[in-house]
Amino acid sequence: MKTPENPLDSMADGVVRICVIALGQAGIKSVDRLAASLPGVRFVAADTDATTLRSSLCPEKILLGEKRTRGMGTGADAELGRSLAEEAEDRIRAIATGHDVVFVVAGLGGGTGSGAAPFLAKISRESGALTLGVVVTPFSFESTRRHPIASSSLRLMKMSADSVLTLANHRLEKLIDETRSVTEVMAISDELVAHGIRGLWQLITRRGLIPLGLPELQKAIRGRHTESAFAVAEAAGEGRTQAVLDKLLKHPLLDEGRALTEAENVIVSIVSGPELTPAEIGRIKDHVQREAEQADVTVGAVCDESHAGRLSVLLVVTRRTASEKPEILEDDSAETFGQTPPAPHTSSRFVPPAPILAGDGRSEQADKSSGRRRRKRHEGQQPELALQVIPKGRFDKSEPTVHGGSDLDVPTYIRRNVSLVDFPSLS
Amino acid sequence: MFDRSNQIIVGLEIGTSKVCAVVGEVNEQGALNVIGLGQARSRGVRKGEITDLSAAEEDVRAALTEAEAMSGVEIRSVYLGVTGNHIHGTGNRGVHPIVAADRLISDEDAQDVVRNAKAINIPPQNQILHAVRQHFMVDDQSGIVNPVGMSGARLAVDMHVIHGLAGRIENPIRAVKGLQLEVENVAFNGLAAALAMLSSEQKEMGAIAIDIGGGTTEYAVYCRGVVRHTGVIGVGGDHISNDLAYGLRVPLSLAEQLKLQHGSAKVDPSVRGQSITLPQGAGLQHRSVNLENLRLIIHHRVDEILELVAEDVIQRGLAHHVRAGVFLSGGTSRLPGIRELAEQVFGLSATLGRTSAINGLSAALDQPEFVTPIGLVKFGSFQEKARPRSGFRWPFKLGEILGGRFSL
Repeated sequence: MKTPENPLDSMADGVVRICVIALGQAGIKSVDRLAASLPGVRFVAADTDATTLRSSLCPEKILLGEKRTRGMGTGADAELGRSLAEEAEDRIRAIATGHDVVFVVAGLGGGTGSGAAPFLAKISRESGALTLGVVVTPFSFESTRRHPIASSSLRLMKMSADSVLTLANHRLEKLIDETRSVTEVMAISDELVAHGIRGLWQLITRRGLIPLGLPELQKAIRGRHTESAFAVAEAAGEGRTQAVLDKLLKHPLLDEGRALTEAENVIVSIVSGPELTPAEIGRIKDHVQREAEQADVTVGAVCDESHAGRLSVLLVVTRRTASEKPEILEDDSAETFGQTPPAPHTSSRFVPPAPILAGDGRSEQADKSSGRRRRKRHEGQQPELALQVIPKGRFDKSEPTVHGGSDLDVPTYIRRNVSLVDFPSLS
Repeated sequence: MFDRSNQIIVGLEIGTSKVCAVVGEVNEQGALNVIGLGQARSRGVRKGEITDLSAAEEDVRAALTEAEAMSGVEIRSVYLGVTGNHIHGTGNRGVHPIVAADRLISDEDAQDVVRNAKAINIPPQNQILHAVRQHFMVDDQSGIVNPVGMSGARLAVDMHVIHGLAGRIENPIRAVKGLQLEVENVAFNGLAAALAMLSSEQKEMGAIAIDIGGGTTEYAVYCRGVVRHTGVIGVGGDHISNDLAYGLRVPLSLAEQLKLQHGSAKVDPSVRGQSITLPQGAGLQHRSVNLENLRLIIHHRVDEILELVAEDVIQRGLAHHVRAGVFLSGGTSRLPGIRELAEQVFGLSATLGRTSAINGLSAALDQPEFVTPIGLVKFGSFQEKARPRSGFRWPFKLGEILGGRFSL
C-alpha cells in the first residue's frame, strides 16, 4: 500500500499518508500554492476543464468526463459534475485507497466542485481514510444561483466527509479593504485555504514535544459529520502570544472567534522555535479554554529550529453540524436499536446531518419552527450561521428543563444523536 | 363535619395532564377508605406547575365537583400535592453534644438535635416542604430509632429536607383558595406516591418509587424504612408526545394518540419496517408513520428519564441499599414495556405500583394515575392522627403550611 511518491510511507514507521485532492478551478488554485511545499503529500488535481488542469502544478491530474464534455467544463451544472465524477469512480477510488488522510479541496457553487466533491469524499471515506473536506463558499458578488448550489452541496459534503472545514468567502469580503482587486481578494481566499491545509499537515506530520497528531484529530472529528473551522496565525517578537491570540480571535475563518463559543472540541497546535516557554503554552491554552468554555481543548506543541523566533498557532474548532432535518435517510452506519449501543449522551443539541433527498417542504417545516432558547452567555455574539432550530413544541414558552447542561425539552433521540431508521414517504 | 367518627380527607393533585381529587374517609376503627374520586382534564399546568391560574381553578372546581358527587360529601379542605423542577431534596445532619453528667440522652436532647438538623442552609427564597427525620446516631453508632434513655457523648440525626421555591409552591395553593377551600397542608407529590405504593416492608428493604406523570417525574428512595432521597425531573409523558410530534412530523394531538395506541418503551425487532396508517385529512403531510421510529423515539425518552433517576440514586450512594426494587406509577407507567426497561436500567426488579396500602379501594381506582392523590389522602390521614382534635379545627394558616415540619 505504498504510494509511489514517498518510499518512507509505510504503516510501520508511523508516517501518515496524506493525499490532497483538488477539485475544480478554485480547489486547484488553492492547492497549487501548496503543491511544492509539503513533502510526502500526494497531490491530485481533478477537474472537468482541461485548461485549468493543464496549468495545475499538481503532479497527478484527472480529467473528469473526457468523453462526455471533452474537457470543456460543466457550465456550473452540479448534477453533471457529480455524474462525471461517478463515471470516474474507479480512478478516484484507486487514488484514495491506501491513505490515512484525504483532503478534498473544492470551491462550491460551480459544477465540478459542488457536484463531485461530496462524491469524492464518500469514496475516500469508504476506502478508510479520514476524510476532510476543505470547501470555499461563493463570494456575495458571484451570481446568485451559485449560493443555493453551494449550500446544498455543503450539506451533502457534511454528510459524506468526516468533517468539513468551510471558508465562507462572503464573510471574508467584509474584512478585506474595498480597494483590493478581485484577483487579490480571491488570492487571499486561496491563501487562507492553503494556510489551513498546511497547518493541518504540520499537525499530522510533525512530532511534537507535546505530541498531537492524527489520533487526536480523528478523535475530534472522525465519523461525526461535524462542521469544523480552522485558523492559523503567526506572530514574532515581543508579546507574540497576545498577538497570535488576537489574530485568532479575529480570524474570519473562526467567525471572528464566535466559532469558539459554540465549539465542542478544539485542537490547539503550537509551532515555535526552541525558545517556546511553558508559560506561553499555558497562556494560549487558558485563553482558548476561556473562549470555548464547553469544549474539550487539546494542546500540542512542536519546537522547530526553522520556526525560531516565531510563534504559529493552529486551531481546529469542531462543532456539531447544524443540519436542516433530524432524520438520516441512508447513513452507512444505519443504527438500529439493539445492535448498536446508544450513542454517548453528549450535551450536544445538534443532530447528524440529513440527506438532501427529502423534499423542500420538510426543511420549510423545520425552519418555521420557533426559536430555540439560547444560553444567555451567547447573547450578543450569536453567529449568523443558520443553526438547526429544534422546536420545543408545547414547551416553547415554558421554562426550559435543564439538567447537567442539556435542555431536556429537546427530544432525547436528537440529543443522543440517534438516527431514525427511515421516515415516511412523502404522500 | 364535626362528627369525629367519619373524618373526610381529600387529596388533590393538580397535575399536568389532569386534575384529580380523591376523597377518603377514616371510619370509626381508624381505617381509611376511598369513597370518591373526581378528575378533570388539566389545561393550566405545564411541567407540574400552574401557568394559567384561572384555567387551573376551573379544572380544580370540575374535579372537586365530580368527587363530591361520587362520594356524597361536601369538600371543605384538601391536602394539596405540589411538584415542579424547583423542588429539591437534600440530606442534612444535625449534631448535639450531650452535656449531662451521666451522659444520658434526654427527650430535650433528641428535640434539640432534630432542630439542629432542620437548620439547613437553603436559598432565602426557598421554603421547606418536608423535613423527614431519619435515623439517630449516638457516638457514631448509627441506625438508632429512639435514642432517649441511651447514653453517649454525641447525638446526631440525619434529616431529609425537601424544599422548593416559596412563590411557586404558593401558586397551586392560590388556585385552591380561589375556590374558597382550605388547604390543610401541602405535600410533595413524589413522597405521596411513595406513601401510597410502598408497604413498610418494602421501605425497610429499600425501594425506589418513581411517578412519571404528564409533565414531571418525581421519585423517592427509601432505605431501611426511611426516605433517603427525593427528586423531581421536569420531564414526563408530555415530552414523549412532543418528541413524537417533532420526530414523526405529526400534530401534537395525533402524537398523543399514537403514543397511547402504539407506544412502547421497547423497540421490538418485529416492528421493523412496519408502519401505521394515519387517518386521512387534517392536512397531514404523510399518510403513514414508521412504527420503529415511533418506538425508538419513545424508548430514548423513557430510557433517559429512568437513567436520570438511576444516576441520581447512584450518585447518592443509595443504589446498593435498594433491594425491594423499583415501583412505577403515574400515567406514563402505563406505557407497555416500561417495566422491562426500568429493570434493565436499574438492574432491579420493577413493578407497576399498586396502591395496596389503602383499604376498600375498588379495582377501578387502583390505577397508576391515581397513586399520587391517594397518597395525599394517606398523608392527610397521618396528619390528622398526629393532630390533637378538640372540637372545631382551625385550618392551618398559609405560613404554617409552608413552614410545615413534620416527620413521616
